[in-house]
Amino acid sequence: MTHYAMVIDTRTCIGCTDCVDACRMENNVPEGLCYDWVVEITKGRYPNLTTEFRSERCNHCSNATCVTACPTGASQYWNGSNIVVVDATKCTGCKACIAACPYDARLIMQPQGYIGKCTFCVQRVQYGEDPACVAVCPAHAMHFGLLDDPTSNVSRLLAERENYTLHPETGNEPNVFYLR
Amino acid sequence: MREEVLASVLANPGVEPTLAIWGWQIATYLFLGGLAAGLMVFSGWTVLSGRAARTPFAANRAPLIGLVLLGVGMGTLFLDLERKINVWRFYAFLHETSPMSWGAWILILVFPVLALLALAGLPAGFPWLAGKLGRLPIIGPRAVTPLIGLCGRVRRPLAFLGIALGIGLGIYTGVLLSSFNARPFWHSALLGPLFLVSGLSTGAALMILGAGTKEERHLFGRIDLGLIVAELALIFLFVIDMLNGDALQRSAVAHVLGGSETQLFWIGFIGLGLAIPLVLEAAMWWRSMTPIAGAASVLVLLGGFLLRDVMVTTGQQTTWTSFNNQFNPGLLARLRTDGENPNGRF
Repeated sequence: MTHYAMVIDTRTCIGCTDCVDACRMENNVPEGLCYDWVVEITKGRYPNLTTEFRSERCNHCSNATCVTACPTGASQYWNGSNIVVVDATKCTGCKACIAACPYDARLIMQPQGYIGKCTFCVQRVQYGEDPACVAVCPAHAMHFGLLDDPTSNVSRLLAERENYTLHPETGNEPNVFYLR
Repeated sequence: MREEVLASVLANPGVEPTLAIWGWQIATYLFLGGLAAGLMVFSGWTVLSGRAARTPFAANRAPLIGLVLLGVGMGTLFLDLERKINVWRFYAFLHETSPMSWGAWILILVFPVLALLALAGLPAGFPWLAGKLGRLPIIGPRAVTPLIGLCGRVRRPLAFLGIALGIGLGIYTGVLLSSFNARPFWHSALLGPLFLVSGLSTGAALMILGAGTKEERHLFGRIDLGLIVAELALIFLFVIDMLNGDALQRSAVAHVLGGSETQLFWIGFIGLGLAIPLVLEAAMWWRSMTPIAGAASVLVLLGGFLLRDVMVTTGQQTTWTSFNNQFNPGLLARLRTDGENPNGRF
């Protein structure tokens, strides 16, 4: 399996939400919906507060419950990789995958009715480009690459820096990593 | 303190509470599916155990009623699909890891068996309908009448199939929900047995409502009494199981223990749907009065629907993510000048 990962540096992210806008432009996301979003986490007690920004999206899990829950096989892995995509021609809009996603990363495309989600911009990745959100990040906080390759920037960052994933206890093996 | 606030707009279901995943359509389907499963099991049982003559409604009429109810349930299921044109895709593929895929195929098996069972019961249960079908031009005498006769002859194997598929359908409606690890309130193995018992109980209640003889009403009154006790035990175990679960499950069960669904769950489902019918059906044991039996049955049916409704609604509100969502659809509407409601599409 070609193992793609996204690594996001919460130390350099400034929470500008440019990744969200770039995604909307690249993927024609319907108004009011989004494939990615930014969360601002505040911890501590005044005056000792810390803030962290986290750009979140589909985690393209290696063990994706949305793929196993799909009754028609529309929700599937792209091209032998861990990138989860939806085949709109097979999708019935039954919403089993929305219920199955622990990250609430899926949505109903309007007005067509099939299920939409972050695709890691496969239309760009297949030509060796970065996803739109990564390419546009003004703080260079986002990185994308192959985990199979130990010399890739994502592999090096994960080896060097302390990192975490969201809710690894779901057992879904998420592939969006956050650097502390 | 730890606070997670959305810095960008996120209007995906599960985060924006007004955007539900599944609505009344799914609750109705789960209710009618369970009810049809109960009718199939009891109808098959009366045929196999040689009670058909003493339980005319259960043996002869219930399969056709179950067929109609299941048809309505499948209709609401279809209404729920967001991309209805692709509905045939359910039958282009069996995805073995997806309970919904199994359910779609179970329905395709249940429907013809239920239809043949209905045909077998037609001459005794609905003679006017059997007569009408038999007089249909061309196909009436050549196809319908022989088919009804054939169904009557293979009634026992059909009844056996009906019991097996009915149990499968009844359990499936619960397993569908309990397979979602992402929704803590659904993630309990007790949901399958609970929905099966509830389906059987609503099936027995409908048998009481339609009972052709006093003996039949008594029989299903006693059966339903036992099923209600079993359902109460299962729902008690379900709540205990959740309370002893992890933090996610404990916060999930809080929805029915003081949270938004508390009144519907305790007053509606447990009170009106289980406790009152339990008392009424216990009273029927000593003295049978048609109004009491009717009231108990209607309440059991109401309780069966409320169980599905509370489960479907509460389950999708429980999630792993917990953002403080600042998304305000009203602000988005104010930004627009053409007056189109940006949330009208939902």
